[in-house]
Amino acid sequence: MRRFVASGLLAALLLAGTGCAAVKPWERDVLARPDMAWEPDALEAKRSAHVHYSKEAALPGGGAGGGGCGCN
Amino acid sequence: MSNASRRARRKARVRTARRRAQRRRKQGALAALTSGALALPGLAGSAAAEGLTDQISSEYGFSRYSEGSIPASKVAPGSERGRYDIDMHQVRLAAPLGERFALGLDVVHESMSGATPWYVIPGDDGEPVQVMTGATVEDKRTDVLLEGKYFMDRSLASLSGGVSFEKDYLAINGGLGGQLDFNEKNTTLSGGLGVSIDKIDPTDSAEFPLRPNHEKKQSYSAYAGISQVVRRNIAVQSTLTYALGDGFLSDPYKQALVVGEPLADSRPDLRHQIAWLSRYRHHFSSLNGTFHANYQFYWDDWNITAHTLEVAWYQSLFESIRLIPSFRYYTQGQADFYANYYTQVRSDGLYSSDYRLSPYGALSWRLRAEARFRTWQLDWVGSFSWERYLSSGSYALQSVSAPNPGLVSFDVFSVGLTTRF
Amino acid sequence: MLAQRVPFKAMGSPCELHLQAESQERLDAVASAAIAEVARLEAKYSRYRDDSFASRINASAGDPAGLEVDPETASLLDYADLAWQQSGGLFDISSGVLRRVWRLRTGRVPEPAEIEALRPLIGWGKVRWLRPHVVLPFAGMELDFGGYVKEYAADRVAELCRAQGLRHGLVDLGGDLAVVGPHPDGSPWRVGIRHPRAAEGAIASVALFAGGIATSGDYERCMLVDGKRYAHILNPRTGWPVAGLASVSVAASHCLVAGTASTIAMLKGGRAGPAWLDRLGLPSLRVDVDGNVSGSLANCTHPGDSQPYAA
Repeated sequence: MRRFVASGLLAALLLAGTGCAAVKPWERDVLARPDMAWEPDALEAKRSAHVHYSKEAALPGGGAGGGGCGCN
Repeated sequence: MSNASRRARRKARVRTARRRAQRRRKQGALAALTSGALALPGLAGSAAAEGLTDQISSEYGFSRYSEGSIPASKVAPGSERGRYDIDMHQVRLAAPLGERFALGLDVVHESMSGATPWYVIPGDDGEPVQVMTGATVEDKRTDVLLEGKYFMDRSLASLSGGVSFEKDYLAINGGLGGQLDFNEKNTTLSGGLGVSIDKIDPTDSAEFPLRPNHEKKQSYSAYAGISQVVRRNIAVQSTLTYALGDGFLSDPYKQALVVGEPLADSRPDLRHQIAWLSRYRHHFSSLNGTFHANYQFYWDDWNITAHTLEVAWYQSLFESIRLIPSFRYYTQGQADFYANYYTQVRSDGLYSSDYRLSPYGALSWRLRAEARFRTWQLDWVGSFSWERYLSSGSYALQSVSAPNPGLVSFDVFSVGLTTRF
Repeated sequence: MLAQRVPFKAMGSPCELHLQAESQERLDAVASAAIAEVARLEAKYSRYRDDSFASRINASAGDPAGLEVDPETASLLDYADLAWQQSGGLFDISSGVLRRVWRLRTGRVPEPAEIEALRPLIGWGKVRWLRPHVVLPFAGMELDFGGYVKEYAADRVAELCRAQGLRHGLVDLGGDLAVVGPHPDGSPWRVGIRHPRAAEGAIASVALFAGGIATSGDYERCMLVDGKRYAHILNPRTGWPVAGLASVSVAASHCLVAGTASTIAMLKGGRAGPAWLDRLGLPSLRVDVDGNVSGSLANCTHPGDSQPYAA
């Protein structure tokens, strides 16, 4: 439980402590780059999550949806 | 407090409120003009561009997954040593429909063959060894997912539905999701729900009458996340997912040795899971590269705690090539009812020797290369990647005294081709 | 990656496309589509062409039934209405009739009586606009799209280039600029803003990654009579040209928004204009008639930089 709280604080610090600057719509050139996306390649992300999920206990975590499988 | 100072305070409050209202109106002025501009035909593209394009895209990917043979020291004498191989084909089609709608279709087809872990027994020198199943004849799985997205000025709604089937398995799933943008798209909230209903019908139940038969499982999940633009070149995201597994959660093809007798793998019929994933993206324009880091904390009520850390570097070269090396570290604890084999009967009747519930850590490296080019008046992207994954009790964060002998290592080779038109 | 400048003339101004594409064929195709799009908008909204849709609207003035307009025109009228509200009635597309008496080519200042005579015909508030019908209640009323259709065209062309897959480029329609995308290495377009009183010199150099820049000035179309400058931007309430500011340049997410903001600032004049711009929150550069420079873009002043639009 303590580790859970520690991870939570880390995530919160990451979000808050960095001092977010408001980026104007015309300054979004870098953010629009495909390599700045959360999942630059959807196919690869899906495959990778599927492979790891079928070999490990943890959930793939990025969001809900997607099917199950009888993975051995 | 004197009347004079009370009046002064009231005046100050009115002044601040008036200034705030003025600021809101002026913020309103720019926002009003900008949304007015976006309402003009053909101009909304620049804002809705993240996601909705004019282009139809089709992607194809092929992967070969091969597990390394299980070392002789870890396998029961006479057991199959070669392990699982999977060939996977993926196709994805995405197209816009009208100005605000996009449709996506994902089809996956896998062929699997090879031997898998069955149960664990104590070896001759006391170390646990794995008994493998016989190599299976080729098994196939097909997965189809349809997703529709509706784009609004500052939000997005999505609906998905899919079906997955194998000879012994059928699953139907559905999902609902949405996103909301704030602060001129600097902050995005996202959330959604998912459900999956699975039916398990092991194929060899006739030969193995004690094999579980006609089992069902339901999974429900919900997630909520927030993304924040930190700088022009830095963005962070954090998503919390909760999942509930209800029904037959055991593996029908696995067993566990309980006081010398192999008994069916038997897990609780309820599982609460939480995954907390945080992502960091940082672009370095001087290096023409972007750094990715993902960290996930996982916990479930079978007592498994896991951490995943992935880092990747996206290096752009010569405008049309990208090289992406990445590294992943994974560690998990064990389910509280897990054991390699049992020397005592458990009062709750739960048994599993599946390495996926055992304590271990895993390291994996991947290298991916992408190249963009143009022929036949279409834009293409070709990709190739290779991943090597190794798992071991000694890689875990905690010390593991008797790691599961069936811990796996594998290589994945993938190629892909995408075209947009 | 090929980079090419494609100059052409449209909407009464010298225009230029700075495009970068992977093949000459692709670049030519996009350039033709872009030039055709500007030509289409000019043909549709020019007040100088009798067959334009704008002229059809104006011909319907006095007819109580009005005219039904297409979705694009409807959105443009919605935008004009919005700008009229946001500017407190200064941005008014019904003020075009004033050009009948302010003939800049003749160098003649009109009599106050001539301007008074036009007053009943001016006022967007008098126009009945209920989508998709527009009614100009009095004969002689006119709607003038010229104040913002060039900026709209720049945005449309930039969007068109992006839809065709171009990721880098700049659209320049007579000084109204819209960015298709920054240079391939991520560096911005360096845009020179013309000095309002020195035709060949740039007063500032702005780095533009995305969005657009528009400039309104009293030098673009004006007349000098007895040493006094009369600009082409006319205040709909007084009927007289604006005074106080020599030029205003604004950067925004869209050239259209930038153009509206710069026009409204010019209309508000030397003191209220800059104050309004600062409250609006867009980066801008203002030069008043006395030569004083202000605004957040003024930090990029490079008097020696005489290469406008250098890549």
